Amino acid sequence: MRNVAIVGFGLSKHKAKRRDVNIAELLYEAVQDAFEKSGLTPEDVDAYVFGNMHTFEGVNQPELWAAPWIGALHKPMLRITTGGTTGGTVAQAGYYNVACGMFDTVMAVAFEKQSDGNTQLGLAAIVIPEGLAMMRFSPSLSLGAAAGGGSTGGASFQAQSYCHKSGATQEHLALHVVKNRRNAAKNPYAHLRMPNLTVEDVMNTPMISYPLRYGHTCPSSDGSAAIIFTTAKKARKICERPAFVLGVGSGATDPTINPLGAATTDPSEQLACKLAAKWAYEKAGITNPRKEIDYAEIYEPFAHQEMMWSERLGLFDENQGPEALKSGRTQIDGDLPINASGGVISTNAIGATAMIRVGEAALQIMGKAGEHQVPKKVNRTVSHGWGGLFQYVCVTVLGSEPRHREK
Amino acid sequence: MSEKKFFRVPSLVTMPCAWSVGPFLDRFYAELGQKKIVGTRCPKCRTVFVPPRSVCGACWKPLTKWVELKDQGELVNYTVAHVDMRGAALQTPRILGMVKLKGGGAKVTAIYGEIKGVAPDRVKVGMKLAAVWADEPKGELTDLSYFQPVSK
Repeated sequence: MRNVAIVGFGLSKHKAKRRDVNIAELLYEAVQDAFEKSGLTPEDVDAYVFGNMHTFEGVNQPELWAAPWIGALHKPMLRITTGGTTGGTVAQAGYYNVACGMFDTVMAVAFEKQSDGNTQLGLAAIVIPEGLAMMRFSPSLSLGAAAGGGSTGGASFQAQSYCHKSGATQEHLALHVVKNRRNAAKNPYAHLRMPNLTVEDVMNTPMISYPLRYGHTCPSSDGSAAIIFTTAKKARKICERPAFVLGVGSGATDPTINPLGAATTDPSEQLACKLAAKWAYEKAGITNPRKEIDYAEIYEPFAHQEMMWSERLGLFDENQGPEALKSGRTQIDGDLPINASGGVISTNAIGATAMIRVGEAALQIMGKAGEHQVPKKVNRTVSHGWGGLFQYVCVTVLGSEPRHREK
Repeated sequence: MSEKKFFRVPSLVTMPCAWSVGPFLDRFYAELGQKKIVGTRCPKCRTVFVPPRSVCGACWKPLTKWVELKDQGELVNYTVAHVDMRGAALQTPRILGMVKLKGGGAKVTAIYGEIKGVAPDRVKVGMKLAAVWADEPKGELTDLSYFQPVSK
């Protein structure tokens, strides 16, 4: 297995409606941004991996015609779709294809242009046909699906379990949103950038499905992202401090929010996250994540989730997430900063989002996060992605030094 | 052998989509409304893309040069349709062709259109065609109604 590094991360601007571009032009924005920032061109790229949740646009497999806009003409390309984890899995595939020796340089591209399509269509196409018939028996899910733009109904069960176990309160949920949307104000590519957001602002939003309010949910964003993976040898010639991929893991457990009947009754348990993290840390040679991880990017479209997954990723003890948040430890200047980018609660272009968690962690290692660069030295990061029927997870660990000794 | 029953779940859900065409196609449609066909040209390989694009994928150059093409060109390929969209037989077969418009130089992407005014067995690749415009163009694809042979 070769050492692989990230040498470029590109983004488009994220907004509720990018009506100023079509799908292909939106892709070009992130791809060209990655090329400009790394100093590379399409000629340097050997192969592509691509993904998005195309049911949300109602446009299937855009990679089939989008190659000219992403520099992929005459090159091998793979498509990957894994629900909300899509972007993270696409990034992992970028890594696999270089690590195995098949290609030297691979570009991973992911996006979502949700405003073009219809969220109902997107969600219905995932749940139909098995779920639709069963939806008669799970009114909360259907109601939830209609409200809050999608999966809030299901996520509220998860939030309930988590808040009950951990003691997280409405105030903790609001604190999370305030932390991350103020962080987003320092990130020019983020969607909801709110430097003056207060706990009171969040608490004043209407309840969607207890305990989640409108203020506790992510926006729906149009946006794209691209990451360039290459060999460690090439990386050292391209940038000063590449972000090396140390370990990856992913997995799924039986769905807990399941129109067909839930096998696991606690949607906050997130066994898939614990397993994926365990595998990624093992590959990365990390035995004590709490001490060895300097920074995390967690996929949190709902306000309870950063606290929850920071525990499942081994960064804090079980049920200590709320206290870690309240104490300020996860702020940009804290001892374990999380989501300096603003996280998913501020920006969510579904297909791209899990990839952005990897890219943002890479920026912190590379020292290229600009205004949202954390002050502490970042040597090892963990990036997390989530999706599916609430139980799909991918985990990627990056570092400032390669995993295997270089020859 | 048991007869399988399916139970229907009646559902009337409207799921409207509204895809952005982007600024290049936006201008293309607007110009069609003026009975003009425009494209963009790559500064490196000189290909003119019709409809216009924002980037030349082969050369990786942003496309900023707009070109107005003639509404006449040459047939480069065609087929004859004998069924409609639902598979029902057409009373009169329809000819669908790929036309390379003049005015863009040697490399111009072909556009699709219906060919009328010629019998299917008289269609020849290379024949000269002219666009027929709608009487009242609206800035939509349908403004360019069809192509017909250039009258001598």
